[in-house]
Amino acid sequence: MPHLDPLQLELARTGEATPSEQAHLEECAACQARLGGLEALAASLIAAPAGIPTEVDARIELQIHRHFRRRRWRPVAIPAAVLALAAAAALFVAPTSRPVVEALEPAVRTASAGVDVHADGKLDILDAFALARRVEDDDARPAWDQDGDGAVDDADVELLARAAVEAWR
Amino acid sequence: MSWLARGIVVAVLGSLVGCAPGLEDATEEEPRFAAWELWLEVPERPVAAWQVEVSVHDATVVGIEGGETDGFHDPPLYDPAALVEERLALAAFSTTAVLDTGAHRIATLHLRQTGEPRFGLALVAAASADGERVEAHVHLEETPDEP
Repeated sequence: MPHLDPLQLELARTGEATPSEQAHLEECAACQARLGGLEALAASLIAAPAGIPTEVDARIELQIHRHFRRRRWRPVAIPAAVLALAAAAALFVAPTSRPVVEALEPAVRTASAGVDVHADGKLDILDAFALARRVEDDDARPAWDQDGDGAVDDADVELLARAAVEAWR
Repeated sequence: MSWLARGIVVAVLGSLVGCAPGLEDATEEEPRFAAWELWLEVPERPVAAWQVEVSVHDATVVGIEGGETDGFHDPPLYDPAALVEERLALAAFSTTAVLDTGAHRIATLHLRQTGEPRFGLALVAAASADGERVEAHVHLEETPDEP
């Protein structure tokens, strides 16, 4: 059995590996090492703290309390507190309407004859989509047999779809 | 009290909050998790297949959710190996459903970020139910925090 791919490793990490994948994992040191790296990454993400620290919450609350206790400053206390809250909120609340997004030049993947089902010279999801439609219509060509099992079926659609989104390595 | 004095008091109080010890550390170094919604705008012909490329800087993608429209609820296809890289291809299609004209949330990216992330975004392909390339546009929005 070939080495487990990243998706299979992730399923193994979450206890969803198939018996054959699990058997391979128990014997293969390379896959065990990659699984270990994945588990370490997951653990570091889960352990990461999130949210506003309680000490900051308490500091803001104290600041507001002090503002309102100073009676002789009452004429400016309310606008000052509002301004202070706005300043504090601006530090914590991320803008929701204007993320920094730049136009990206998409990576063009050239398709060979065996995968260019959409017939436009590019490998993308439209090839998998076209193959899915041809499989449903029972109109697929033998040349589109991605896994070489002699049949063009959903498994070939899945392989082609994965190839379309595969990371550059 | 004169308006000048009031102005000085307001400015000092505002700066006190902004300069409180530990506050800068909290905003600059503490990581937080945020959800960013990927939207597809379909101006004319309904879309049955789409592929988008996203680059994420100053943040890490820790999860990907599917869309809101029937037939596109499953998470889009992506290469898990690309999660640790800056560039990520996402794609989905359906042979039984389409995204009608209008705006659709087609995926949600969950990020671990320490500041403001920057993104690159491109629509690689969009096709109608009969497989023809059609016009569409993509954009990202951060999911508002729940009250």
